[in-house]
Amino acid sequence: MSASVLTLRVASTDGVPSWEREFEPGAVHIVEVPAGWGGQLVRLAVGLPARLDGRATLLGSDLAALPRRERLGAVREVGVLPQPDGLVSNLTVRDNVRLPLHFGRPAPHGAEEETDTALRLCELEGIAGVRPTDLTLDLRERAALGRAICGRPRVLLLGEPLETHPRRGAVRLLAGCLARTGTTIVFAADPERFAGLDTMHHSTEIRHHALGTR
Amino acid sequence: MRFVGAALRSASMVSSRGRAVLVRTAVNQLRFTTVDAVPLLLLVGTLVGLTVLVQANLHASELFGGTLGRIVAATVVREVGPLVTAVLILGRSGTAIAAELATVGTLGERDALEASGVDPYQYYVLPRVGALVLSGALLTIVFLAAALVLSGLVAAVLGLIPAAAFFGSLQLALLPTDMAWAILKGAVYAGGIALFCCHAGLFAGDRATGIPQAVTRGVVASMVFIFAVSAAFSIVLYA
Repeated sequence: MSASVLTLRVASTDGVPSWEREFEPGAVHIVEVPAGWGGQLVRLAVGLPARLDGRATLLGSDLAALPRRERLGAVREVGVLPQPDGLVSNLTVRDNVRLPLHFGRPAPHGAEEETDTALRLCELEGIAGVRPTDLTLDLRERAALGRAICGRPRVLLLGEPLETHPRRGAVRLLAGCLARTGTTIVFAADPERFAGLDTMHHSTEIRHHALGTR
Repeated sequence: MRFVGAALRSASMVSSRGRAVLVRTAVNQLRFTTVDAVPLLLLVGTLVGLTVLVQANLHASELFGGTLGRIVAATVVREVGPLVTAVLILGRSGTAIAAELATVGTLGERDALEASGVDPYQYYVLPRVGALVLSGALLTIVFLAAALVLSGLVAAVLGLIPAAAFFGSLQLALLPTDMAWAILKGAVYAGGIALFCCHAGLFAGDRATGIPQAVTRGVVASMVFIFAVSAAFSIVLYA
């Protein structure tokens, strides 16, 4: 079994040469990717159909090759911020954040406490009872981030996160979320947005990668 | 069939915490499909019952005096009642389910749930199938009550039929087994509607143009299912 948390192999696409990269556990990986690729790489990693042609091995499994039930079981250990956010429109922010806990994601401190923590870290306490349709795009994204970190995901995969947030706010939110997981992989079209992360978050090594850029 | 198999497998894997979420979704669906539909069912049931009554009264008085109740019971309870109820459920709730689930696909909601380890069959299909099966049974009862009792009262008030003779013959003609089969049919039709419309919605793709196509597919497949099962019931039970 590979020691890496995630191995990505992406075929040549839109003039970007093919590339392969392994992401080691226990670090924050900020990966520079072409705009629009972040969400697609996250989809590729968790075994969903993606516009990019490639393969991914996440936590030792090629999720795209697994039967649906096993794939669902495997991704419960992963927190994902997809693009679009995919919040369930008839649930409140709070119910959206804790939804994965109802369906098997580990919640070592109990579902309510884990949910409260995620809401606090993503600064969502004031809008916990609001439905996503009543939120602005940046608030929706924070709610989706809360869903990704709720519980104890082993890996956090973020596809071009917090792009509509002011830079300082985005770094502060991300720094708060990093403590919730062992490994975080951020696919960012503008990694400079997270340049201040090193100074705000000292407990985990932060690695910068430039992959698939033109 | 693969879709039904996947839904059944998902049903056997629901955790206790997940069950609470699914029950809440099912209750919402039940409220929309059953409670909100009662006025429509009462209205259409009364009108359909009146239509059948007028025709049955014409032939009953010409051919077999005193058999009005039998004709109405046989027509409405055995065939028309569950069938019209199913068509109304399809028109109100089947289309809504197909459109909602197709929209969920275009908004990325379904994929986001899958990426979070939430089984879309559990989250979307099970509560809707469960709620519609129950709704089908309950609304068939509502429809039959309207078509037999309300329409009889209206026809009597309008002077179209003799009320005492009609209700007397209806009482004699109504068999518990016929009522039970009618309710079962209602449940089966509604369960089929839920499955076909969920399938059409969930596999509508991720483009907005897929939404109306999904609704059309769900309606057409459900219609064929309803009429095919209705014919099969008639052949097996009454031929």
